[in-house]
Amino acid sequence: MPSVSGEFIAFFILAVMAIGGAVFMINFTRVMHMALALVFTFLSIAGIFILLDAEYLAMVQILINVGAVSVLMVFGIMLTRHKQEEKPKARPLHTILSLLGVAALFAVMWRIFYTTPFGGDPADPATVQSLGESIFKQHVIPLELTAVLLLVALVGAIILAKREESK
Amino acid sequence: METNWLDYDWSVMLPEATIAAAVLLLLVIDMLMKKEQDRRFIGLLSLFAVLAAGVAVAFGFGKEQTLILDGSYLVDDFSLVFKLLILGGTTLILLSALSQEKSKEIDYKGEFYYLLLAATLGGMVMVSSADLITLFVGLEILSIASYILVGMRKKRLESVEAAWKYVVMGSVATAFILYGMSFLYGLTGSTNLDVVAERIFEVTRGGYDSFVYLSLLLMLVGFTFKAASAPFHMWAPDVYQGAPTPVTTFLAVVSKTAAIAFILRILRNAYLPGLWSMGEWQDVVSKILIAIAVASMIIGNVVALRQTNTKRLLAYSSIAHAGYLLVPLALFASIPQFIVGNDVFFGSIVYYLLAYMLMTTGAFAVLTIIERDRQDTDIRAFAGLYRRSPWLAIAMSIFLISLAGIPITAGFFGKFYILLNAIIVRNLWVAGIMMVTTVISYYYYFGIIRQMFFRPPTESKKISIPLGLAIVIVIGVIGTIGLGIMPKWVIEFVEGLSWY
Amino acid sequence: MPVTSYLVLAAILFCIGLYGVLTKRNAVIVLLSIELMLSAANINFVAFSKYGLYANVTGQVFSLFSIAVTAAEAAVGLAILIALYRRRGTVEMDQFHSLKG
Repeated sequence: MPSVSGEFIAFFILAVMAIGGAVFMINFTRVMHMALALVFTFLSIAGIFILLDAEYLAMVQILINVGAVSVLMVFGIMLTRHKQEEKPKARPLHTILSLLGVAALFAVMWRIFYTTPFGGDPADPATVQSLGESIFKQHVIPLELTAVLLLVALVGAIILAKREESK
Repeated sequence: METNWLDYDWSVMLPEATIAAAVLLLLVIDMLMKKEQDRRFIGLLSLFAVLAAGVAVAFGFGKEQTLILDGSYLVDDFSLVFKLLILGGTTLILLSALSQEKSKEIDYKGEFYYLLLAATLGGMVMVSSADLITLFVGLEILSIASYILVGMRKKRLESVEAAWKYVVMGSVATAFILYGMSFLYGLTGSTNLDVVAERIFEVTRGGYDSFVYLSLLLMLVGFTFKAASAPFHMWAPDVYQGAPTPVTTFLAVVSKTAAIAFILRILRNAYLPGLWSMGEWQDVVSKILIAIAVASMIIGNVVALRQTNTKRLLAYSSIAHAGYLLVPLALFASIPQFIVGNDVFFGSIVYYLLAYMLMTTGAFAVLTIIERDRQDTDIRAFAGLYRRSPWLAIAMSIFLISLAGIPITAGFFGKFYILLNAIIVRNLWVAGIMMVTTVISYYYYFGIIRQMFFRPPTESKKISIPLGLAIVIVIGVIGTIGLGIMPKWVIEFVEGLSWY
Repeated sequence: MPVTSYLVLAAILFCIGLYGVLTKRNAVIVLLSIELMLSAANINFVAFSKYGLYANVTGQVFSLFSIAVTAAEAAVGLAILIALYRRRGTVEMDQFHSLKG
């Protein structure tokens, strides 16, 4: 049992918040509450990144996942009409089977994690400089390809969501 | 990292650069043009770009393997062959799309072409990298462009619904692949496949073998989805049916080729060297792959029996073909000198993919003509085709016979070589299942032939065949028969390449 | 602080996301669940980038790429959802069934 360090306490709080947000997302009945619960999870994940010495990623996580993606989803909710409440589940068998399948997957992973723990020493914290050098030197090809990908997604989203002009 | 990045031979990226430049150029041209202007030349330009890239790829044969940035991009014979297949498939699809402009099949002309090119670019990146990050980005370019292409005919509900199913299930598959890759990275600390392979060997000995299998299994969930093979094939029939027919062809031919190459690259370069020497590959991984292949063959062929929509039928048929393609992949490390055996097994995969490309694009081209004529993709739309257009019916029969794997067609030799692989490694059990499922498939392929030849036509009007589709069908027929009569040409060419 | 705790946290989030995709009927929530699954993979990358067997900066680079790519994927998914909503007038997934074999 490791001694209770500050990192452990911070991890524990953030993990409970992240899992709590995710569980609430599954269990809330109103769609907007679900989206907000997930924002909570994303924020906690940013905190986890800081614990892992990845401050830059934490910032990116807040900017993109908490900021952009969540706002996008909230717009998605606003632009579409929703029943206020989710209907009670009409497919109990499907739900139970899904639950069993997911639980089995988790049990397998849990077992693997605890039978073979990782023993590595923590690496030196990565600086933004080393991150930048890695991206812009070593991984410059996927970076350029990501630019193409974002362009494709942008154009595609416009094509798909554009209102058809009536003739 | 010692090499200055300017010292790399960047000219080897010419094929990708051509396609990427074409995407950007066409995008700008399409934006600047007025709405009512004729956009036909955009299709011609994209066809030209694909052909130019194909020529650039063809000039790469016979050279040394080239690595850029430690394998972030790499050119070897493996990537060149698969790039040629991808570009060839795209050419045929562009040809058949070009002649459909007048029909309402594709509403947004400019966008269709540059998105198709972008998807092709993604596929090309997927086959020519030895780095997980680049492979992942390539996979996502292909996937995202495909989601959009499927949903493009948005006036039709089925198209948008198919796109929705595709984007949800595709993203889940992406999540599985990414999650699997994260464990692979955690074990090896690298995204370079060669380094990964070395370290997998070490960590498997060091007692982390369960993590290695976890990463492999998570990735396989995503892979089987992307290649539309069992057990995660359920999206394929719905998406194939709902998508515009040229896009369906793209998914069935180009996406599948890229996915098979992607699986092959990761399994062979990253997992095989580490797991093979301890016999873990033969004991575990090979068996999992065989199970996937067998399940795909059985599910694809049996469920196809009760399909009445031709597109759905061809979707199940493509699931079954994914199963056949996975057989050499599953078996190729089962013989002791697997390095020697590689050529034979790769030869059979590439030959089969080529045959599959020719016959599938041909069959879809005929289906496009029928769909234009009858506004229907039900099997009954083929009724009496022989009376109305005998050549079309004969061409379709050749494609179907080839898909079914009956002699003197390319499909027969493709199956035959794969069967030989199974017999070489004495896996008669798999060979038996291949034969039984092939016989089952005769029934549904002959269902279409029966409609064409023995059912009376509901109308007697002549069917008009547009030029582009006619070219695709002629190429398909010549290729299918030609490869069937002289399979040695392709096989010898492929086996003469170096598959290190 | 062993890496196992981070892995378990990521696994829990991944499984909750998967469960959401399988059972939720509201299309927006399905997209959110997918984002959750992808975030779980990112936690893994960052955790391994500090505590992995051969820890280095590449894990953070990979998760940067994956954040960018999945944001694009979410945007396309939402665009398809809006197009579908225009045709259908609903975002309840069990009413999407024009494709049947």
